[in-house]
Amino acid sequence: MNHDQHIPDEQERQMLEHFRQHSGGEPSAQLDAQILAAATAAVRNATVDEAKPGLSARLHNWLFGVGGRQRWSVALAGVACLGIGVSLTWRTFEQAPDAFDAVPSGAPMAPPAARMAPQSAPMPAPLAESAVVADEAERSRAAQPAPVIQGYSADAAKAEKKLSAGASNQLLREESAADALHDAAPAVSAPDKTADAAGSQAEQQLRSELQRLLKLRRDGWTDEADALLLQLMREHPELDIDAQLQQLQSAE
Amino acid sequence: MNRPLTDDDAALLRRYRRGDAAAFAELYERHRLGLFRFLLGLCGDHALAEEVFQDTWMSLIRSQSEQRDSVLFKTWLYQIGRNRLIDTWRKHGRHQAEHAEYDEQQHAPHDPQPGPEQQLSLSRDQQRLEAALADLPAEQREVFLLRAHGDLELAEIAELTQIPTETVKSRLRYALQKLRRLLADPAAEELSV
Repeated sequence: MNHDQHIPDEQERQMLEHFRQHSGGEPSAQLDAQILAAATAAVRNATVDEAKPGLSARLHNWLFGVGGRQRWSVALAGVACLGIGVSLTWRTFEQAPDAFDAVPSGAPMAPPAARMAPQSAPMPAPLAESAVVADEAERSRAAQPAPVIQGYSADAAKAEKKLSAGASNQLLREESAADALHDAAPAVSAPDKTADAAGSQAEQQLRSELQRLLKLRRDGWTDEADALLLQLMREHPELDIDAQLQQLQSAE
Repeated sequence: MNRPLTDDDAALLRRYRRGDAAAFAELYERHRLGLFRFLLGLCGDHALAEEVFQDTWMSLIRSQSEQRDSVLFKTWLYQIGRNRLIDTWRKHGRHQAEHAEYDEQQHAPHDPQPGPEQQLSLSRDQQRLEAALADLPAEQREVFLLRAHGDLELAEIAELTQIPTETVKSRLRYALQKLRRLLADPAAEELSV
């Protein structure tokens, strides 16, 4: 039994060699070609991937290769365009928040109801008169700067400090134009100093308003009369409207 | 089959990984026949052997990993092929060990030691070789094929198949005994008796 446990090396070698020499079977030539082609293709792909220059290398070749002078000018022009675009975008971002939420100056956001009223059905006479009064009051309010706009102008003054030198020059020009308008405003609001005719016309208008107020009170339109009284008190704070009314009533 | 170039396999693989296609061609030429005959001997199906053979080389091509230094390229290659074949068997629901367990202790005493005449009269008929191989238990056949076509040492076979070296040694011994008995020329056997 033990004599089988150790096969002589020579016999083992002969048996193995016999099998190696006489065993059949081998991969087909087509399979060999497929595998070798796949190996070659894999190497080629890997080589192409490695040989592909990076972005910096391509940029370097583009700038310093053949025809580099023209490419430098193109590159500089591109950088300049980029700089202009960035600066414009920056200025737009700086100005956009103030411009978008600003109230248009001198024009109310919605037309007053009194202006819309004449386009609709005809009103009773007292109502029509009160509408005219309201319309005039609205016009006078529009002549004065609105509190919102004053607030905006304060914000704009803050925003001016943030702007660049070029932008501040433009704003300075706008500011000077606004000052000119502001200077011109007192000349318009004080016509009595410049023209006596205009002053007498204002007195007549005030007188007619007071008469209309008395008429409204007589006819029982107390609400409209009170509204007109308040309006007159706002327009002429320096006058004693009640005294004027009593004087006019006694004269009538 | 000598192994003078085995240590160069890793160098060839490194050259191939660096873009030398000729290195792969040389590597392929060295191992194509041994690997294919190992797979064919294990499964006995030429088409399946070709499929697994192709899968093995393609996985080697696609893999970017270098071979571990402690493992010979050949052991690595045969390990891939063996695992691929086992995966294919599992996929097709085939049991890996088709043959009944070979009772080594029972058969061993009756395997006669062949004399020189028997060695010379071993059949060279290819069909008989294949039939003799197919008659071996799967474990013995695997060890014999790795030794014969892979030219692997017993320790390398043990590492590849995850079995002790002594088991590999005994399986190889019994495989050789049975093959010798199966392939012996009947006339010569009668003369020797």
